[in-house]
Amino acid sequence: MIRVTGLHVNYGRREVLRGIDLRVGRGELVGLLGPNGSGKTTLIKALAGLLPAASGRVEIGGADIRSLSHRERALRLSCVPQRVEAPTGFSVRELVLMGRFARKGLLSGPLSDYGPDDHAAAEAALRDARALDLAGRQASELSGGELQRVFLARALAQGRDLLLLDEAVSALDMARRVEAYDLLAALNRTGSTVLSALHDLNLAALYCPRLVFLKDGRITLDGPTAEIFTESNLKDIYETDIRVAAHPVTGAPQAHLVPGAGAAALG
Amino acid sequence: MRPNIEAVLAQKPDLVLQLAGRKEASLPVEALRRHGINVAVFHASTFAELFSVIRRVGALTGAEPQAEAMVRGMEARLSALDARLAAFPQRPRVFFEVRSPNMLAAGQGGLVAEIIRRAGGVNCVADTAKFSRLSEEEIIRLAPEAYIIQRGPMNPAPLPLTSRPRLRAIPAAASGRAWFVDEQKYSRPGPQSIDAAEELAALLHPGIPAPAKGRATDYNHTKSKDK
Amino acid sequence: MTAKAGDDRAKPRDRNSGIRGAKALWIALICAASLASALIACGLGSFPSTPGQTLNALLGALGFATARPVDPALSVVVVDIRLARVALAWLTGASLATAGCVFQGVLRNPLADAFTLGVSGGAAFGASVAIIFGFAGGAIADSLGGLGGGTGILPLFALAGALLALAAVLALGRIGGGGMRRETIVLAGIVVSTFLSALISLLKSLDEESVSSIVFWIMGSFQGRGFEHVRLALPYMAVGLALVLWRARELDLLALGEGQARLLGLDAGRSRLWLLIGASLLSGAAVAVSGVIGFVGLVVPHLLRLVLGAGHRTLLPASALLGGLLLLWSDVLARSVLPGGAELPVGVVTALIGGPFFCLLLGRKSQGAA
Repeated sequence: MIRVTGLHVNYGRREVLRGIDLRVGRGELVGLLGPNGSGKTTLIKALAGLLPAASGRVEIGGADIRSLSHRERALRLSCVPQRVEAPTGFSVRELVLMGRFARKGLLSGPLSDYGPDDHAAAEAALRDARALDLAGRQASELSGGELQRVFLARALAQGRDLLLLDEAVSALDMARRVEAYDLLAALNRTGSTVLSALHDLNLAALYCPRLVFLKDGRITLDGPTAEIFTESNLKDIYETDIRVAAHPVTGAPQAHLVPGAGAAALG
Repeated sequence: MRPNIEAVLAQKPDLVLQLAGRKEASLPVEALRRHGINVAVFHASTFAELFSVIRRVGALTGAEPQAEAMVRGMEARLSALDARLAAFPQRPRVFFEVRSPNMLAAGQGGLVAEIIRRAGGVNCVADTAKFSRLSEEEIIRLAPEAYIIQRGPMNPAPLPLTSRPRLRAIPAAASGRAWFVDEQKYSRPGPQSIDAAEELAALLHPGIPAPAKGRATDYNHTKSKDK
Repeated sequence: MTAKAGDDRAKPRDRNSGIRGAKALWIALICAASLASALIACGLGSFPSTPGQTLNALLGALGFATARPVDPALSVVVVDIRLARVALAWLTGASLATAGCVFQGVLRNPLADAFTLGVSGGAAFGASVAIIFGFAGGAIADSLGGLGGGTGILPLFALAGALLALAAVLALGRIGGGGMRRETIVLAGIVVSTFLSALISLLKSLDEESVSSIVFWIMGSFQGRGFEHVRLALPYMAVGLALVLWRARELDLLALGEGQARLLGLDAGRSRLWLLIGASLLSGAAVAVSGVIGFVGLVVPHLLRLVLGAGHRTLLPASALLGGLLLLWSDVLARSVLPGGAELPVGVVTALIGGPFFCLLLGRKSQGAA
């Protein structure tokens, strides 16, 4: 589904991604982890075609991203961006319907409304993202968490084949995060491929069978959660003392911080 | 061109004359006066004012006799014009176009209005200002019998009346009594303003006898070019 | 199967029908007001005319046999002058408001308009050149075989100026890097319009005699305009309108920002380019035949955004309709508010109406935000 080979991406002169090789197969649910500034967002943007590669290539569904038009990219993958600002003057429903843009050709008529299929898809997406109650509200009036659910709904309306999420749940409270990841897991079971960048180690370990760790623009670890989510690996990557214990319900590994580990002597 | 005060001062003039105009034009006057230059500002929107201006310039330049002679000559030509017009009782309604497009018409407040009157016409624009911005529909309502278009810097490339379809409804268009005239002659008060009155009289009243020859003195330097 | 599809469709539609009905009502109201206004405006002016005579003259012009013969002077006044001005003012207002709406959407700046991009400045500069070199009256255009279609060559200069200014802005934006980023476009627009206004000042100071012509032209007016101006501007306006209406949906996406627009499948750079070209055609053609008229492109989209929301498939046509209506009445005021058939520049009327109105809108908005 995703195939990245030797990917380098620069911001100006600064190398942000330094040789990424990554494959994500159809139907996988992968968590993308790493400290701040490790390149998670950059990798998601490069996968979505928003950032050009300095070298290397990105293939989505077997096609080089550079050879795809914006419309073709949007039909192959949906992306929930990290920072979402609320546009003024649009209702939530209008915003979610915009996810259907790529399905409307220029020839579909300038003033014609979105069709019944589009409305049905938007309705289903709103329902799945638990945002149906927001449908009639103005997008600019929503809280950050509500807005993230709406943008998730928009991505679902756009397409469910391949979902890229960049910190898509960071503004949600705990209950909503669980809801959102239950949804992602459910989508994954029905065939969606999901690559989700996130900060929350435990959420990732709880839901994602495979984790990819980025550090300094390189993939330092990539493998099944049960194998790589270990104390020594996490200590290396995050450079602080971390303990791992099993989740009381599922048995998944969960990370725990140790107080005092980060405190340099004060004097 | 705007007057460059430095350039004016460099000439060390004894006297600077200015024709009253827009308000901004009086700013350099103040500056020149601050530098001790004599500036005389003149206003000439009637023949009487024009004559008094000529006399005052004569007095200021020590050429009083010449100025007096000039004024006498002009007055004589105006009375002769009146006499010649006595046999022509009709007073056609005249429209004087200062500028087009963005139509600007001569109102009652300038020398043009008096030129029209002395030439045996009636300025059909009632506005008491010097200029009046009129709509085309108002021109049709005014129904001028003669349409005068000045051509010069203010109206660089006016169309002839025959090329203005919307003004076809005015009597002047039907009768063909529409002419181009020289802006310098009509809109710049001076000795040539008498020429303008004589020229316009001949246009408005085609049968009028020509002015007596030999009256024109050295100030009569402009030739009518735009008939 | 078909029944089920029908059911699915019914649900979301019902939810929206209330909002959509309100929008349709607004648009229908503006349409009706435009038609009624056009009729009324044909009866207003310094030339005396009764409603019956006006109607007669209009019917006569449409080729209907009229009960009483129409006074030819009245027919010229009602049809060739008033109706032509109504049509031209409406088209100009529609173009300016639509263009303003597009500029605001593309640049994501509620205060953007043709001035921001230097398009108005370009048109004003082109017209100033025409005036300085004495092309304004049209004698030269006519001698060139009716190049201006009887309107003179000035509108063509103005239109060329507008498009050249846009080209300069886009080229500068390219040099500035980042292709078609809106920040570079806005900056380039400010640079170009500042430079052009300096050039206009230079022209004015070089030729004191033409100052009043340039000043009055820049103020904007429909005085002396007729159907030949409608014929001149209409093709450009039609192409411009088609271009932007066709991409109305893209304007919605651009409002979200470049990144999101691209994620949703829009080639933001190309879309912006075409929208800017369309809007520049609209405002360039409007400025070419009417001079510079402010506030229509600013106030109308702003007001409608408050009422109809930001969806451009409704907002663009509604802006066109309301902009036309607003300028139609501004021109009626411009030609009838002064006594004795004297004219105000219509740009002065729109500024006098628009300025305070805009302050009111801003006040309301900041109150709402507080």
